[in-house]
Amino acid sequence: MSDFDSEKNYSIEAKSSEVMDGGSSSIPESQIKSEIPDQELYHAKSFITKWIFSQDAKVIGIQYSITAISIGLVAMVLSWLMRLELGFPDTFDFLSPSGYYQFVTMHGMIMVVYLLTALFLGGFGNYLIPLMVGARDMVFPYMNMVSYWLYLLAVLILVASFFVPGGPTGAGWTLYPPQAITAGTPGSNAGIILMLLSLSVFVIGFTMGGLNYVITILQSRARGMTLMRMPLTVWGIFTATVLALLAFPALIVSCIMMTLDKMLGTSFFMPTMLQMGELLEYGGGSPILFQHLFWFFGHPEVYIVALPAFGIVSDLISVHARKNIFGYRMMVWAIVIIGALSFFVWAHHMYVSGMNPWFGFFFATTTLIIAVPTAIKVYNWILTLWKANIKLTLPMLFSLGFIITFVNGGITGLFLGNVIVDVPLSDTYFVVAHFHMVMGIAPVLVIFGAIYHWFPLITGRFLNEALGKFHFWVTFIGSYAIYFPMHYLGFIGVPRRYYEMYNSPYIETSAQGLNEFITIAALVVGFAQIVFLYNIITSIRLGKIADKNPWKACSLEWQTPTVPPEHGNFGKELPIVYRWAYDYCVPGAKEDYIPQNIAPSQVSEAKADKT
Amino acid sequence: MRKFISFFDTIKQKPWEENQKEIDNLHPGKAFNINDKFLGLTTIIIVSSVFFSIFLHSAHYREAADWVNIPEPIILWFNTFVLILCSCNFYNLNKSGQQKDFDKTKKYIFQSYFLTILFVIGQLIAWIKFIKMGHFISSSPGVSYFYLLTALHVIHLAGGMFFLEKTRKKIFTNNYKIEEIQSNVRICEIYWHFLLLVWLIIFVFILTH
Repeated sequence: MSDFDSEKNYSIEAKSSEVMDGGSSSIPESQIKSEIPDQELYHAKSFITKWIFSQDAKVIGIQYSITAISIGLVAMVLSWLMRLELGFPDTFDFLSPSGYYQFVTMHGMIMVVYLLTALFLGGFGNYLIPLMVGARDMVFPYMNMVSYWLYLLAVLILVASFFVPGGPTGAGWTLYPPQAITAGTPGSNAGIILMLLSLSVFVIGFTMGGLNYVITILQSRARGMTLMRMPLTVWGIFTATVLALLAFPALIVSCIMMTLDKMLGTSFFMPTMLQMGELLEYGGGSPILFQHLFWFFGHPEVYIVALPAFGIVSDLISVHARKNIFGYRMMVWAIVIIGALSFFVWAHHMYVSGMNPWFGFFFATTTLIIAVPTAIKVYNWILTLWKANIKLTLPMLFSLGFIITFVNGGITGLFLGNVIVDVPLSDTYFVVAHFHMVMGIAPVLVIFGAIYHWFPLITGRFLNEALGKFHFWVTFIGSYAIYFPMHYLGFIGVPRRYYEMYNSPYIETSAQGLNEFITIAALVVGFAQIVFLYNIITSIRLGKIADKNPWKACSLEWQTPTVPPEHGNFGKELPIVYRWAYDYCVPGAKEDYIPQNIAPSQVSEAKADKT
Repeated sequence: MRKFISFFDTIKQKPWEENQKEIDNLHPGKAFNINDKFLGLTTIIIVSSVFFSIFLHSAHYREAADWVNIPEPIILWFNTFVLILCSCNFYNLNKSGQQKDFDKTKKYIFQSYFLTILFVIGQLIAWIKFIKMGHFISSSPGVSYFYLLTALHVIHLAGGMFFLEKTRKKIFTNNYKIEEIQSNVRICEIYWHFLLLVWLIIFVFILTH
């Protein structure tokens, strides 16, 4: 361990702007050593310790990704079943009202927690953090491994709930009591208990992983890698992890208390209530308390998913437009400000819970303030593209798709953030369209872009471009075909969560036609994802072989001696960082990019005069 | 001269400017000049403070309705005393560690085991007393919080014991780095102080509700 006084072993006295005041120094470049005492890594000896119980963050990242994508596929199939029910009611025998609620619940929970959170932080976080900050591995590799296995356990418990009597819970992904644990709700016995258990295990596992991400980013960067030289991907993942560490306790607290309400008969959340004419033994509990706890977790959760997406897309745009990101500092500030504000907006999910209007007014204000840093980010992405050398590669296409979709979903968020506008729109398809656009499609487009971008790093091969273009256009246009009509369904007042509208005179008959159209679009978009999986599986062995650093990116993950990077990431010597991650098209330089680990003397002709 | 530069000053840096580059090139890559494990402990303390404070906050929220006062068996005072003793013991444990007097350290480790287990047994006795008095977990919300908070506090202690056991094993194998043992015992000390603080807050909550 590098201990408290290991500083004196450094070859030069560090003068960092973060830990010390930076006096001017004139130490020749050749004397700078990557001095950090090398981490003692666990070296895997057998197949099992190398690929299964692995302590290598890259393998763990891939394990996380495979698990998350597998469970995500289950959620996608569930969404198909829901759409079949909505588009063609009374057509399929295997669909029932209670089944519909179970599909809705599991689809929502899997997508938000087990797919997006796990993939961005567990998958991309594990793979990219050590590589991007120039570390050999996470600081606590063993704990990192335990984190993955707890995540897998959580997923398995979740899957098990499909097979218990009564099936999985059908309480909606928000699991509101009292209905979540009272008879009449599908899966109100074993289903809900397994769900709460699974979430608790997930939170414990995630806390272990999150500890690693935060400390690795803070403490084991390469020499020269200041916080403000880190790629925005790392900033996004870092801030999201901090949010998660502070927000997930609220989730586990509400899970524990609801489990006790269900199993031991306490009344934390359960009010006095009648059930089929009989007085239940519960009394005095507060369902609103659960809503506060849940959304105190739930709103930061939105940004836990969005912030890594913001970070990754900034890097993708910068690399594929061959231009430094516009307003890097502003981007960092926006990420941090959005993260901080996300803890003060939770009650905008509860406008119709009967809260005091002034309380709602406060939360409407904070919600609208978040639009400011978010809009700054969008402007900066667009200004990065302005007069840039845009290469319409697949990652770029997905990034452009992200910007449009995110603006789209963000603007409907402004409507929903206002109390008075929200009240009529609440619980309609407008809300469904909004959150799918902003936290479903937008982050998923970034995930796809990121997979196309980093696949050559992970496997040494490209994904097939033609299949990728097909995947992009079908996904992009298809998701608009799904969610644009939903806004109109919301305007005419079609409520969400209803498995069938029956004969509702206030709803135009054309709404049914729209529903059928949406269902067909959803099936087509789902098919495109299967093509994407086919592309991944075939490209691992048969894809076009990529050169080292095929996108000519500056950040450290592409500068490893071997591709794909091996255990320990950087060979014998850790890299030394001399610049930020965005030195693209520097005037005078021979190449249009200068990697972060290239010393100024190697590119003496380049004269950067940027602002 | 050492000077801690705040997070806000850090994010005002302009990494692309020439004079900033010269400063940045010498950056050692660490934000804090402390041990990684110690920073891990800090993070755990922050996360579990959030965890416990959300519970207490929810209890405050829940108090409005059918709250019944939580009984205060005398054994809880004894348990508090034991946990304070345990913390004092950890103070000595850490001191002996920093003085590299590892024979003493071994002795203190066993004492802390004893005191911690005594505390846990005391808590169990308190539970049994509650049950004998007819206060079950579902009887009233205050009692539910009592069972819940004491159980979670003991689980946190168990986590600490796990880490202490790893340290103990290391000392007894005689195959260790002195600095590692020192930092480990220091971490244990701070963690136990933190859990004493948590217990005192829970105890005050029990007394006042």
